[in-house]
Amino acid sequence: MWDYERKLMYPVKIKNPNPALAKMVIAQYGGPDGELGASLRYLSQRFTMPDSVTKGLLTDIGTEELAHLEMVGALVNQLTRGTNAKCVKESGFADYFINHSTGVYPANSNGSPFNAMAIAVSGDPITDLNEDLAAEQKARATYDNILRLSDDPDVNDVIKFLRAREIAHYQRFGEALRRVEEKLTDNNKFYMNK
Amino acid sequence: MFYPKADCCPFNTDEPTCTPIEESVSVNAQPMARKENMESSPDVNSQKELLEKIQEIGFAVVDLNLFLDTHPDCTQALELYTKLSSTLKSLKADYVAKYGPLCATDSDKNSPFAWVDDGHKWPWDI
Repeated sequence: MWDYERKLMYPVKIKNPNPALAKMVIAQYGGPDGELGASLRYLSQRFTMPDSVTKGLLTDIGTEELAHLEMVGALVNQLTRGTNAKCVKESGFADYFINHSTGVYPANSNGSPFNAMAIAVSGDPITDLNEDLAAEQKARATYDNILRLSDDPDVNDVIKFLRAREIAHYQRFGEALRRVEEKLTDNNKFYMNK
Repeated sequence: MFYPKADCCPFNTDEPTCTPIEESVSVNAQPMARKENMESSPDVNSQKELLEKIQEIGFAVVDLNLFLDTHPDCTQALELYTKLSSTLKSLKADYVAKYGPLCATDSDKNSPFAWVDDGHKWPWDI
């Protein structure tokens, strides 16, 4: 089970509201390569991993993704504070605002709600770990795109932290995959059926 | 009104105080009934017993937490919450010392990292 700590993993303190940027950032809250999907993917895949190391890694990264989800939620919340009707209309935020006001809803930047179709849980450790490697790169690429379009240094500082974590996770998943593959050649090709 | 007022306890709507909570949650309650497993060693049984105790007190703490969220002024509930929180803390410390980490940070300094040691089962494998 989980305990909650009332702190963000990395500080989020945005000075200037910017609903247009909030609409881009929300992709990492409820979009296909966002933090909600990441957490759900790893915390669901861990049950059928073949050893304690891989179960532990997926538990720990899945937990960290929940902390990232909270940070992205804080970004969206702070970017939409103190806004007004004119700003909402001019920033292209109106279509989101009509349904959610400034609530933080798990959706992609085009408004599509979170969908578990974006994640896979195959029950096969090789398949799942390869999916995880791809997922980390897709999230990194999305953060790169946010950095290309954002000119707010407060937001970029947070995005750069999250982007760096995708790279760290990719490294760890690579090590876990190599470990599982080595076990498979270890006189027991049915190791993963344990 | 369906929801009880902030100054009264939902466990006994006749009384304006929160005393009935103490009766409904006993620190010394017996562990949940379970099947006897002839193959289990005494050590496995005592680990299971301690874990069940932690789950039991842990649940009481979670439930009291929710009650206190909407009844922050209830002194009796707060008293029981702090008492059970401290019981939970010492039960967990006892468990960690005997059977290994509950949280990653509980791992001891001996290598390899106890958190991912094959000897410590994940909760869905116990």
